[in-house]
Amino acid sequence: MDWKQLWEILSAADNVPIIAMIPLLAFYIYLAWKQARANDVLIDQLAGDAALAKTHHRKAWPFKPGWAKEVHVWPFPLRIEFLAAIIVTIILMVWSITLNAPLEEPANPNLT
Amino acid sequence: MVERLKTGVKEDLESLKTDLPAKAKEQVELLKKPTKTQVYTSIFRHKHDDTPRNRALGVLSKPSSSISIRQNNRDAVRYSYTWGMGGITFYLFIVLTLTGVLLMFYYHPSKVQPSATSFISNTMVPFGKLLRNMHRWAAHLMVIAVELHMFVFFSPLVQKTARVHWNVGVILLVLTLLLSFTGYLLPDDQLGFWAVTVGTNMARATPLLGHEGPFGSMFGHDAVQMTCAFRPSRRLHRGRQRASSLLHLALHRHSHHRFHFHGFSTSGAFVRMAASPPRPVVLDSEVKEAKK
Repeated sequence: MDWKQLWEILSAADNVPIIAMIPLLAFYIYLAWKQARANDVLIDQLAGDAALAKTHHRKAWPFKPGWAKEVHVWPFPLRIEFLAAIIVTIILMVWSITLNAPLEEPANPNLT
Repeated sequence: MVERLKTGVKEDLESLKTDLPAKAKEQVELLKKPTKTQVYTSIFRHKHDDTPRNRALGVLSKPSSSISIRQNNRDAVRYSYTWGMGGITFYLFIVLTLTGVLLMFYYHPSKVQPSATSFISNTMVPFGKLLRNMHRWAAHLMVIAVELHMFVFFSPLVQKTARVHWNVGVILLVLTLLLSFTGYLLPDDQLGFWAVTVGTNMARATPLLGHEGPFGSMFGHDAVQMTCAFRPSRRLHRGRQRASSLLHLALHRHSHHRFHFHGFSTSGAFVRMAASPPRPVVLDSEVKEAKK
């Protein structure tokens, strides 16, 4: 197998989502484990200090004074979700315009 | 009778003389304060000062209240934790439903007439190619988004309290994958044909439920039988779409209302199942023994 053949396989329209998944999964696995580790460090810290365990807000990230514990669904999360929907729409439109979905010749059981 | 009419008209005219300027004055006054008009108050139903009451009213009287609960834990909706994957999945589902309905107008599962998909892909249908591409790529994106959404499993809360939510989510994942598979067969091209060949052979090899099971006749070797698989796959595609939407709206979103997830943890995934109220960080000293 030479590089040209490898590129042809990788750039086939049907393989594009699979190729896209590799960096996406790597990034999100890294992110999830980073957050998980931060939480575990906090657990160890709080388990060793009973007084702190009662007062700490129990988050791995800083909590700003004056922040409400609960936030309204509008605009707080919905604004971000709406923005995400717009970004997804742009990605989808660009993807759909630039790359055609694969369509081969009609099914033929005699052709393997 | 005529007298009565005359006096009545006179009274009306006189009252008009006094009432009209007053009413006109009232209208002019209202125009100076457009926020007091009936039209305005019917659209904007409450004040917009930044008070808890007004914010609550704003949320409760808007359609957004059907998307999520009125108030969320600040940490539960933190974007770096949710990644917005649930919302993106839901959005892609809507995109797929809309494009799918439009594609269904042209789709006809027939071996006799030329492939419906190539008909749509060619220039005969306005924006047909874009429509089909969007449907295809949105389906792939949805599978990716659903899989990334599954990372919530690392959340201690999912492991402890949101198990029903998790289980419904797993069913929805399976439905998404099956939708993707049945959709793959619909163009009835060589790609789809060999996909159904692999799929039915895998089903055939399933112990007890495979070729020796009650559905054995469905998983035949016969290539001709397989070529017909795209007909039922169309029915399955639509059926699963409905099941998926119902399940999503009825259960997954509903339990989402009660579901705040708080963070990930690398350790103690199952140790903490018995812990009492959901907390982002649960210490071992707070874990209660599981009831036997």
